[in-house]
Amino acid sequence: MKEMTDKALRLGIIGAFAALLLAMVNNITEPLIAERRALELTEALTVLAVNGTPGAAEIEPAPGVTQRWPIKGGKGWILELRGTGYGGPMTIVASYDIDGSVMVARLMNNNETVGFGKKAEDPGYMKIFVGTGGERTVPRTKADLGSNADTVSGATVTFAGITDALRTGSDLVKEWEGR
Amino acid sequence: MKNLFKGLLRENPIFVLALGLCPALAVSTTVNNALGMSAATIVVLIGSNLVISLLRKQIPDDIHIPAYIVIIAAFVTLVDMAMQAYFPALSKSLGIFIPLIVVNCIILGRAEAFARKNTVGASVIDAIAMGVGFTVGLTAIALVREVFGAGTITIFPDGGVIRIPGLVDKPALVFAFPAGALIVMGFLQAFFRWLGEVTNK
Repeated sequence: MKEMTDKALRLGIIGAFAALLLAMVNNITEPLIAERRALELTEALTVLAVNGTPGAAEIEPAPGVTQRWPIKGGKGWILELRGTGYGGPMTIVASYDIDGSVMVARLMNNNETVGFGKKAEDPGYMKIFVGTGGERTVPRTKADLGSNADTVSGATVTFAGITDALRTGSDLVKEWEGR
Repeated sequence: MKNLFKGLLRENPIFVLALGLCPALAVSTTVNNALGMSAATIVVLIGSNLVISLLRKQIPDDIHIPAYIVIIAAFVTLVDMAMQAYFPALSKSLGIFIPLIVVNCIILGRAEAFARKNTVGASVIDAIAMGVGFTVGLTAIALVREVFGAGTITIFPDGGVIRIPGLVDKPALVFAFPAGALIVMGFLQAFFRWLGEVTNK
């Protein structure tokens, strides 16, 4: 019993020191990481607003949507959507016209695989969704992409996560706009 | 000094010891990813070898694996946080493979095989030697894959990309995929082993 307690104590002390060290480093790095993420979001919102400017943010306006911004001086909405990819949760931001069609979309925080799902961060990747969600439906499968199917090749789970989130956003915008 | 260079050929972690093959295959698509991954691995290797060697008499055999994992995980998390804060582009580019250094065989392998039996100084030299060997191996694979698979050599993603005429327009895409990584690694493994035998004679 004494031997067991001794081992548990030693392991506990190592764990406590590790936690203390990480807490100290986190104290330094966390504000920098938060500042960078906020800057990235601001830059993305400027691009997403197209011809307008993002209005005041509304938190958790609907399930699957963490934030929404009305587009001032233009029309439509910018949504921050939750998706699930191969590496877990993903954050997608997209602007929608009032008919629910995607104007611009971007993949933000994610843990997708380098060389596969990660390529969804490339600006060209999201272009396959632009203009869908209104008269044209958001693609559900690779087959719906036609000649663009190669763009998402090798990362089906990432594609499914993004397309599900974008479809949710499109449906919500249509509902809010009474369409 | 001899020990410092053992990781290059005689005990190269990738090509001779066959350790750390998962990141070697996964992040070797571009040279800058390989260099970033190598730098992160070297920091974790030095930190974990140093602490494990320092505590080698205080950690009983029965709990040495969980204790090592806690130490290694702490260093990996530390590197991950620092990378996210100070090198965000590289952190984004390497993604999940940075946290996965925790289960990189090189780290636990060197802790088990070397740091737990040797002095702090020798363990740090071992970490540097293995880290340099890992860097050479990973960068060699990435260089071949990127040159043939994309026709580029990326040193810095923003503005530090060398484009190779003739290859950049018509790359051999197989090198960009996992199959290409295995092919390149096989050839480089044979080359490094041959080089090791020649230099030993």
